[in-house]
Formats: sequence, C-alpha cells, structure tokens
Amino acid sequence: MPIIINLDRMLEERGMKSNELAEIVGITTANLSILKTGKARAIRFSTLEAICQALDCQPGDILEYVLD
Amino acid sequence: MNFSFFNEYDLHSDIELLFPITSSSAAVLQFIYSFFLYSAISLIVWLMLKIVNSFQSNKLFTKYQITGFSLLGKLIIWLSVLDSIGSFLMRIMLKSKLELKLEISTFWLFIAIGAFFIVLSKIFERAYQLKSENELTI
Repeated sequence: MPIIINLDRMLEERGMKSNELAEIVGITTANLSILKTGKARAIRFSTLEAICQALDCQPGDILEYVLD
Repeated sequence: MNFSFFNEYDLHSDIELLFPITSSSAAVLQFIYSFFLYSAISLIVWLMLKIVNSFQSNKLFTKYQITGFSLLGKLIIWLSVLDSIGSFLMRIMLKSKLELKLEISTFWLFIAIGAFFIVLSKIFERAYQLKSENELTI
C-alpha cells in the first residue's frame, strides 16, 4: 500500500513506548501493532485524533504517501 | 440368479420400476448406478450438516463456510447433470427407449438449488472481505 505509517519514528522522537501510546489512545497493543506494520486497511478519525493528541503532532507526521 | 420376484413385481404391481431388472447385468448396472447416486446424495447431506454445525459455533462468514457452500452448489449441479445423463443412458441400455426428460420438478429445481448455494457462497465471500476489512480498521 502506498500509505506509510510513521508511528515508530514518531514514538522514537517522543521517547514513548508502544504500549504507553496504546493505553493513552485506548486501543489494544495488537491493534497498534497492526497499524504500525501497515496491515491496517483503514484508520478511524477518532483514533487518528487520539494519536495526534498523544504524540502532539499532525496527521501528516504519521501518514505519508509514497508512490509504489 | 433368479429374477422372478422382480418380474412378478413388475407384472402385478401398479408401480412401474424406473428400470425393470430383467438380467444379471442389468441388476449390477442398476446397483452400481444407485450406489454412486446415493453415495453422492449422502456426501451432500453430510456436507450440509457440517456447514449447519459450523453456524452453531457463532462464527459467521468463515473460509470454511464459503468453500462448503461453493462445493455444495457445484456437487448438486454436477449430480443433477450426471443423474440426467445416467438416467438417459440407462433408459437406452435397459429399456431400449430414447427419452430425454428435463422436468421442472426435478432437474431444473436441483440446478436452481445448486446455483442458490453458489450465489450464497459468493455473498459469504463478500461478507468475509467486509468483515476482515472492518476488523482491520483501527
């Protein structure tokens, strides 16, 4: 899929762990892992909003479009 | 081998046998034909029961059900077609009568049932895709 999730980079920059983010956002670590690995088919606006709020970033910092 | 019972049965009964048994080869042929026919019907019933049982586990739109419905539909259609061909050939061989029957009550009904199961498997396949898409929405 040409949409890349840069969650790992953002987490590293913020010094936050995956399970911490999952807890703040209110999703399971398994679902966060699906999101991080790019296996997710869609992301809810509410989840994106919660991630942006937790990481203090913009949706564009997390999502990136890369041409195949 | 004595076939007097069959001949007597044929003569004194109002019920006409589909293929009157007049010789040992006809009896063997009839037996083999019936054996395969009823084996196939048993397989269909067994498969149907397996699919119905899979619904009781509260898991819907699984790969198992999709494959099962598809297989069931194909089996029913193939069995109807093969049975029609088999009956046609048996009539030629045993009754020496050329007869082609495509009755609405039997042949087309079973074709429709088979097609229904194939359509059902397609619907389940689409539902499975939507379900997995929904599960992968974070």
